[in-house]
Amino acid sequence: MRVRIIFFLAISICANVSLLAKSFNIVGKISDKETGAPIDGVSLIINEIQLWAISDNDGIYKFSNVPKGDYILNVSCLGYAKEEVKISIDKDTCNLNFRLSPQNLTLKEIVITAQENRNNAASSYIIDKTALDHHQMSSVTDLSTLLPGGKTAINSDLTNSSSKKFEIRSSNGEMGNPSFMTAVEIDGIRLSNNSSFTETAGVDSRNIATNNIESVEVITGIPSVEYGDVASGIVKIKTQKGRSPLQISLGASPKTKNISIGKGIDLLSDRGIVNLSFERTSSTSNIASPHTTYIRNAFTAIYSNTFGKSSSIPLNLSATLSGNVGGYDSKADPDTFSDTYTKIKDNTVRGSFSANWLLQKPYITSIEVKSSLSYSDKKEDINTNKSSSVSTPVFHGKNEGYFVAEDIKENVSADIALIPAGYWYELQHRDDRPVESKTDIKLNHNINLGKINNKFLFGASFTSSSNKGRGVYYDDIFYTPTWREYRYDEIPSMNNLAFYGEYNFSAPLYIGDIKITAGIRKDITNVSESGYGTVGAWSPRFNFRYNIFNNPKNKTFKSLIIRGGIGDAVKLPSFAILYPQPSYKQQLTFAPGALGNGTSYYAYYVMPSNNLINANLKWQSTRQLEIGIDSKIGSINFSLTAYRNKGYNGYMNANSYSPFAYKFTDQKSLDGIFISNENRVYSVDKNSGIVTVSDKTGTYHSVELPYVERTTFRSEIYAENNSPTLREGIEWMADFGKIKSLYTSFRIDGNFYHYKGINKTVVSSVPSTAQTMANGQPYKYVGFYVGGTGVSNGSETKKINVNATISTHIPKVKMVASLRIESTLYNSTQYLSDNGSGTRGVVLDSRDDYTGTDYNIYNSEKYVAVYPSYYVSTDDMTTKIPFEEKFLWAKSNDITLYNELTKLISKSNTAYYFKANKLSPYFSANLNLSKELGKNFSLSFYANNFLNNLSRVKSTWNDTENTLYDSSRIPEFSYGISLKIKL
Amino acid sequence: MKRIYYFLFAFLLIASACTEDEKLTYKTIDVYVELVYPTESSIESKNDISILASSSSGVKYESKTDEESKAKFNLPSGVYEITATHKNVHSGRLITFTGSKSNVVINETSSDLISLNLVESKLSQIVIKEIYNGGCQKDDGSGSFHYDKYIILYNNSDENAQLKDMCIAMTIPYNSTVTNADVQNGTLFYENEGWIPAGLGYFYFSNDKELKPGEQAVVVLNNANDNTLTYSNSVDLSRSEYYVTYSPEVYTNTSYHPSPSSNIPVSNYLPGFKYGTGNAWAFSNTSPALFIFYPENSSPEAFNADANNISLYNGSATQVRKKVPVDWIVDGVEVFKKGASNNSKRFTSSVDAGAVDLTAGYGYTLYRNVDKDATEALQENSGKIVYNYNLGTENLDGSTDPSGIDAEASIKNGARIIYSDTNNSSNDFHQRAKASLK
Repeated sequence: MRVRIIFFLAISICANVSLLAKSFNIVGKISDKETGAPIDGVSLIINEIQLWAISDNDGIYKFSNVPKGDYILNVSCLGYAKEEVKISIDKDTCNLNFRLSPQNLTLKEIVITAQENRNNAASSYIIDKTALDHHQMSSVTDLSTLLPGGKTAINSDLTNSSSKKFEIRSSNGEMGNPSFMTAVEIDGIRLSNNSSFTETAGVDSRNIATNNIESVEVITGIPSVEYGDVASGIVKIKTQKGRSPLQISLGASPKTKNISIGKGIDLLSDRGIVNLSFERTSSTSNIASPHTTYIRNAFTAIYSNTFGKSSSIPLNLSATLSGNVGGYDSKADPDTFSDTYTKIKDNTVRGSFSANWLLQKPYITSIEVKSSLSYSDKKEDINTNKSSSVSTPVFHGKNEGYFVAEDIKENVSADIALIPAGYWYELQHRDDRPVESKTDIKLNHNINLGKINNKFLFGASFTSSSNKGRGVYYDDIFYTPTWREYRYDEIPSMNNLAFYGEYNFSAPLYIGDIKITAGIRKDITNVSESGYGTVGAWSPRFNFRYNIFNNPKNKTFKSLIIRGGIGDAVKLPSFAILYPQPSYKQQLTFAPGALGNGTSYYAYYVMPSNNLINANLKWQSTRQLEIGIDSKIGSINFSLTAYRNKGYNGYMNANSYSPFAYKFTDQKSLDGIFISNENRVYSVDKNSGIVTVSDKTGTYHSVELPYVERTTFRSEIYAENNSPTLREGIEWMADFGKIKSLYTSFRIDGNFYHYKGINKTVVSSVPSTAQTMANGQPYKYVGFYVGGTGVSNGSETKKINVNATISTHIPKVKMVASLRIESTLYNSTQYLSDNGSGTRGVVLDSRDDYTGTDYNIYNSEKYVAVYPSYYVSTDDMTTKIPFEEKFLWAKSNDITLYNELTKLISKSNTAYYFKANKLSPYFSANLNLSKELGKNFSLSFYANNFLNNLSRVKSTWNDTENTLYDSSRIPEFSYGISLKIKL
Repeated sequence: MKRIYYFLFAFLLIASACTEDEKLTYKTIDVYVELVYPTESSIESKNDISILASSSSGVKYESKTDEESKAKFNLPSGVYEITATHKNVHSGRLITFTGSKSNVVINETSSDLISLNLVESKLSQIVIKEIYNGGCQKDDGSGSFHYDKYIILYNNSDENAQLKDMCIAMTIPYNSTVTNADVQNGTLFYENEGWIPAGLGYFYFSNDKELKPGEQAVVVLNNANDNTLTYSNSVDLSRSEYYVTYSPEVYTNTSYHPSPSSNIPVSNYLPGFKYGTGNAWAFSNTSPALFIFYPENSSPEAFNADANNISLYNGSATQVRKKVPVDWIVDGVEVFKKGASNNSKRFTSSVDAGAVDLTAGYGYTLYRNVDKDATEALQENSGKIVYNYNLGTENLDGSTDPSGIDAEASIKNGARIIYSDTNNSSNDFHQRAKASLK
């Protein structure tokens, strides 16, 4: 295959000039089917040769230099039904006219489901506005329901951000940060959560308006190399662009209210079009107390224009300004105590500029330049009510050493301060202001060789992620809890420069045609000031689509396509991985008796925990492999895709421990001190830790207190990669066509999903300070665990979802209704334990045991203990002692050691922990109805889980049955209505 | 029932004192009475125990045992009833051995050695008089403050009681309102094994502290400071005579365990052990199960160091408990959350056959009811008992002391209160409107 590609490439280049001479012009007119009026601004695209044209004021469009060949011409315009026409060009064509039908429910064919995008070699699905309106989505993540086997969102409200992140071919709770792997773009502007210091997760989609979306493309397969910083799936949102009437939308459901207004304004005289839209959505999680809300005030302003519409080198310019003002707010909730609240801003502004110039030169077909900048304000304010009857020690100093607490009113910059007894409010701010910028330059070159077409794409991309926030701070220094300033705006930006090249080849093959895409991308990430330096990563990708035959006239076998691909995709790390916030350990070393007002001048040893640079850290990546088949047999459109995504080097944080000795001064050491409590002044030597008691009055000499030595651990945090994950599955869709007499069509879609992830990265762990030696001293052992301290270090999921959609569309009455039965026929989850050479666990005879002889944890319904592989102690941090061997020895020979080592053991909390949890099938039924009233009004209604399914689901895990009501398995019973007005 | 023996013993002592001269008028016979202790008894000192021989005519003779538990009598011929009572204080309990033998014929042909079999009975000296754990309302209306917990231990017996080595423990589950994994087939699985789980860790008296009859010791569990300065509904727990559970290296959480008031001497700190996971000895606000015990033939330190007495709640490696033999436990109080439908017992009936309900967060306290009969029977209480108790919460959906005696007012009036101790908190406790220390 490689030889053939090179062959065709060589032929193409050599024949380039001569072939260009055999090109033709296409001219036509676009008009409104109902009124006959010309339509300007219609977009016409011939994807195969990367040519495009825009109709002028007279509806006239023109393609120049179109090589001889058969093409698919895509005609689209806002407000009109798209058309896709097969054309054969072998001469100049002057009257290729189109009469576009207005997009409404009188059309014979409308689509309210996700459609496979067959122009893309990789698996991708298109969801257009008709489908989005019909399903009344409050969040763009709700469109996942329309993908094969997709499920309606459990909660329709917007108050919880975690459920509003895209996860493509992955699922929450799995290794490898699933939502972080999926990329989201709006009109080419990449939304990124890379500069978040609090999570390694995908973008929160709640600030994206839903009413002005024209279409969404979800690329689930191997994307073009122009897409970087992604590991599993891309969601491309396209907002409305073009002239449009004033559109008003009003929506209401028990938890969400929505109003939007939008218009596409023609500036006339070829000055372009401005699309303005505004959407306000208010959502609450609890209809009984609807005061805690999430508010979205999303706005979009897009200017677009095409210069030189009649020329052969038109230039399309577009500039966008969009954003949101809103966020989460619990302040109005009367159920909370006075003036206590949480407010999280979700303000964002995005600006972008793009230019697409069709040059049609021998050496270049078109050039695209795209630049975007987004700035977000996600400031979080949490006001809590506090009180204490004694002084509260808080830690503000970053210095290492022993310190005595000081009254904060006397020394606001004390390393350890005491908030006095009383009542106060603690107002915490988290100033989080991510800034993302991206600039792309793409050069397209098309070479046509008769029926053989070659496309070249070369591009470069520069992205930068930074955060202009101040980080966490408090309103009042006198009432600031333990806190050390960590300014986000002092962290250097992460810059990524990428270069890519892609070759597209298409040619007839036997009675069909084949399309091949091969590309490679190089990402060069610069995080030099972090200590990671410059990191590079290659992402080769390859796709093919073989259209074996396409004969719509054949009554039975109309088409058959085989497609597939393989490729790597690299996900850049988040700031939460690169720059984890330093933590500090405060070890109490002295606690003198409190004074009458509850003040106690504690002494602590403060140990800063530095972030270690892991020189071996690798960027997270996914190797994707997929193969699919599409076919139309009779009236049945069928699509089947199998994929296998192997994730590598998922990001995680880990700790490293080193022993540390400190001096502890017991209160008993104060026995015999003559200085009265009121007159005692305590001080501690910062370095030696020796506590001295002095007399305020000077009557008595100062006394150094005796102490005891203790040893504990200090920890340091570092970024680490976890082990590979496997995600594989099969996705299918079958459209059975329309039963014309009943106006009804039937569709079945579904997926089989298999996930397996086992983390075998060895991490160290010390039981928390909540654990001590039996004698009360700090715990002295460190355990080293394969994959962490959890009872399991992995899991496996298998799931089969099947959805059936019955839709009835009656054009005459302008109505479409759909009933969607969502079923989960198979749902199995099982925890796994694996250290590479066997299970990490041992089966216990009884739940109180720590030892056993049976290691077959999956076949026993007994409690399981997990041992560290080995351990070290503060006495000797270098000698790694095999845990199990020593533990079993200690059981018989050293019961004290045995007792202490039990504290390193994790145990299952049930006897069925490692048993597969298979659920009996469950279903939900969802209803949607859309009806147009005249030309100006349309009404939509939805009812999710309208049968309010209260069935019980049986679990094989613990042999219990649980109701589906208020479960996380099917959507909650909810309903809503919306009215759309066009003026 | 045990008190009857005391009264009988006292009566016999008085009666015997009146019969000294009668012995000289009859021929007498030497007889030895040997006390036979139960085989499992661990009493070491068996000499100097009084044995009474009462003739059918009502004449009483007394003799004391020697090293071999034998007492020598010189009795006139006749028919006697021989009785003996041996009281011994051990591990906070009053252990009483009583024996009685009727129709014992003493004459020249009768045996000169009479065996008197003793029966052992135990009675707790120390009882938990009060548990204040529910907290109170804050002054700013923002809810409840509950870091002001304390308990009061009380010597309910007639003998001095020693607190050294007494341990204070709570169960896991901490709260009664959870699905109790210890309940198997409808019963607590450890009932037949004879132990109660002490969850997380325990505190203990490391120094000598003797409580006289009617004396009490306040043990502050959280925040031994004057909490009323901030929370007017709370309690001043900073008094110098109070004890406090404080072990800052073990329980590091300064919200639960801030440094105690300097009024309280360090010698009043109760050190603690921890074998479970937690930085605070988180005594339930709503529904604890609290018990006190003495490690018999052991020590608090040795019991803690013993890795063989571990029980893991529901197999959890973090919810570690120690198995405390029921025989070690001198008192326990089971608290249920008022109004909850899912309260579950944690004590077996031998420790507490019932439970007392608590409504947390309003300053209510759980207070032991007065044993009216026993208290009134004490002659020293004559004229000192205060009635018309009005601090019950029966009108607040709570409970009250059915004795009608205002124990705290009576104590201030000089009375010694005998509290109800039937091993059933349903009968022995009520919810008092405010803490007794308030």
